[in-house]
Amino acid sequence: MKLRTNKNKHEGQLYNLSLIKKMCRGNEKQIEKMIQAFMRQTSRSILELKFASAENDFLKIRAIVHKIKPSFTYFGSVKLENEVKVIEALFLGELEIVNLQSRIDILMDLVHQVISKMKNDFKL
Amino acid sequence: MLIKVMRKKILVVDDEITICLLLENFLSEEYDVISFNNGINALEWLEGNLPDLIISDIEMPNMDGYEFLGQVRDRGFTKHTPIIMLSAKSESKERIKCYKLGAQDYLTKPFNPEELEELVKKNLFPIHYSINW
Repeated sequence: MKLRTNKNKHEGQLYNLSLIKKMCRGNEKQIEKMIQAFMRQTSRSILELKFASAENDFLKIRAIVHKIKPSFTYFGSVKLENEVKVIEALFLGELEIVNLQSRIDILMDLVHQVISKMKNDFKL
Repeated sequence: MLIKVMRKKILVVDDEITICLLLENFLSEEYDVISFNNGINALEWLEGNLPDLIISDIEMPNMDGYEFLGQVRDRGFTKHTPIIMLSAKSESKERIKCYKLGAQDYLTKPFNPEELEELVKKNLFPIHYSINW
């Protein structure tokens, strides 16, 4: 069974914490801890992605993108999820691989936007 | 007389801190949860501890989930400990590989928390679970 998110409702949002709140059973401290872990982990993954991209290490790029995707779903970031899907489609040959670098740039930019908003919203 | 009910112990292994925390937060209300970010440390912990259930990721650096699962099954004490494997990969060949190595269940990330809850119950209380069902 796949996890369903109300994508239309949250399409324009950078993130949505309803699922995280549910899984943390509303505990504010745990939610904040989760947000901090997400910001730390995603920043690290994006840095790894940057290096892998500079080295044209496609296997690593694919692995990193695959790995970070579930977190984007949990944090209700439909924009990030969609961008990851585009990158995955490039690897599946459904789209032109020459677009990979620009899509990675878009993903990195979106991640920065999400993290900045979280920092701002939660005064972190 | 106060009867102390022993809480079931769950070991979580995932290199993604976010997922570890998420599982800890979600499951700790009913169970004791201990988590590790890699299979090597988890195996060390298993030298002196016996969990009631193990939840492990597959794609991890240094020691992947398959190797971890194999080693857990090779050890006498954890030979029959139920294991739920987690992965972002949804292909059936991944699931088959896990089942062949001795995993009880396989959950695709991002997982539905309610599904996880049911799988945990099913593996921790198999007889009661089937009676209720």
